[in-house]
Amino acid sequence: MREPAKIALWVTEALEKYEDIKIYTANSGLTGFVEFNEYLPCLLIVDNDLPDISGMSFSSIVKDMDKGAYCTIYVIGVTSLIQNAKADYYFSKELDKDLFSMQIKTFFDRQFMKVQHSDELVRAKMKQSEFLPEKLETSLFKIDTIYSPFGDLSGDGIDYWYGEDKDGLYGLLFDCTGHDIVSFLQVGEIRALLKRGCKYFQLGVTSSLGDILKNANEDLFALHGDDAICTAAIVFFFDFKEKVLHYCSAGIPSFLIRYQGSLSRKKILMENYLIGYEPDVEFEEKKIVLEGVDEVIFSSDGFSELLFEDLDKNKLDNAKSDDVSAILIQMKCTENP
Amino acid sequence: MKYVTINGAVATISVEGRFDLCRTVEVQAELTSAYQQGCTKVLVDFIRTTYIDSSAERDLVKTRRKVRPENFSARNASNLVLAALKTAKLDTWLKNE
Repeated sequence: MREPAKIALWVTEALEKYEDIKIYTANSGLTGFVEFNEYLPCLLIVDNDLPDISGMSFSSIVKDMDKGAYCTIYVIGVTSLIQNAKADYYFSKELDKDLFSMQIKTFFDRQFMKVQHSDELVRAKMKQSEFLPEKLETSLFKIDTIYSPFGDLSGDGIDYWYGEDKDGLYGLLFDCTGHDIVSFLQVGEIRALLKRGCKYFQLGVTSSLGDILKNANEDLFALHGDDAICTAAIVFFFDFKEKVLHYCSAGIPSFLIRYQGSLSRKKILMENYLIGYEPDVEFEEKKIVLEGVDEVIFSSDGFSELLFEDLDKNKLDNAKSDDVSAILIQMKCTENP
Repeated sequence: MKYVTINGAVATISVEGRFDLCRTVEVQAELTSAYQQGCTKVLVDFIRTTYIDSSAERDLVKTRRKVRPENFSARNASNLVLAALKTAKLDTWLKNE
C-alpha cells in the first residue's frame, strides 16, 4: 500500500470512536494548501515526500499563515531536519503503527476534552491556582502537594492550615465531577462548605469531623435539592498534642500511611457515602494513633489508582485519566511504636 | 451505540475494561440518545468492567437521579468494581441481584 494511503487508513482506524471527525486527503502540496484553507483542520499530517514541495516547507508555510498557528502539524517520513521547519512533530520513515495511532488518539482525546478557551476560563484557572495552599513546614511536619488537573480546570480541591494553637493541622481534599466553568463554580461551593465546617470544628462549634461532612451534605441538598452535586471528600485533623490523626471520608476510598523503618505504605480503607448522594446520612469519624508514623498521603482516586502499590504496572493502559491531587505529609516528631 | 444497548424501556450500560472519566462522556451521549428513543429505566451491567473510578460512579449517581432510583439497578459487579462501589456505599444498587 502507498505510504499516504496507509497512514490515512491508520488514522481512520485510530479515530473510529469519534463520529464527527472528518478526514480529508490531498495528493500534493498545492492541493493541500487549497484544502487547508477550505477546511481549516485542527491536525495536519504531512508526508515529507510530497510530489511538488517538501513536507517541511509546506508545514512552515501553513504555520505562518493566518490560521496556521492554530493547526498542529505532524510531518512523517523525515530523514533529516532542515532549517526553519515549523511543524510541531516529526516522524522518521520507519513509522510504528501502534505508536503513531496512539499519538493520533491522544491528540484527539485532548482536543475532545479541551474546554473552549476564553477569558473566563483563564480567569477561572488563575483563581483555582490562587486557592492552592502554600507549602508548609514546621518542627512537627512538612507538607507538599500534587495538583494536576486533567483538563484546563480541576474538579479537585485541597486545603490545609496549621491551627493557631500550634497543636493541630487541619485539612481537606475533595473530588467533584467535571472540568469546565460549571464545575469550577461547584468546586468553589464545596470548598467553602467544607472549609467553613473545618473552621467551626477548629473553634469547637462542632465536635466531630463527621458533622462537617453531614452539614455540608445537608447544606448542598438545601441549596440544590435533587441537583446537588456529588462529591468525594475527606477532612482530617492531626492532633499533635495527643498524637492522633482524626479523619472522616465521604467516598474517598483510601489513604496511605508509611511507618518509620518501613519502605512500603499501608493503605487505610474507608467506606462512606458521597456528599450529595442522599440527604439524610451520617458520616463516621475515625482515628489512628500517630506514633511511629513517618508519612501520610491523602489523595483523590485519580492519583491512588496510578501508584504501583495499587496497580499491576503491566496493566496500566492510561497514563492519567482524571484530575490528580494529593497532600503529602512528612512527620518529624513521632516516635517508634 | 458502543456502550448502551436498548431493550424496550431499558437502557443497559456495559463498559468493557475501565469505566472512567474518559468513558463517561461517551456513555452519557449514548444514554441521551436512549432516553430520546423512549428508555425510562437504566441497568448497569458490570460483567465486562474491570475498574470503575469515582467520576464514573458520580455520573451513575446522576443517571440514577434522572431516571429515579426505582428505575435504576446494577448487576455483576466483582473484584475492583465491587470494592469501589462499597467504598461509597453504592453496592446497594446491586441489592436486587
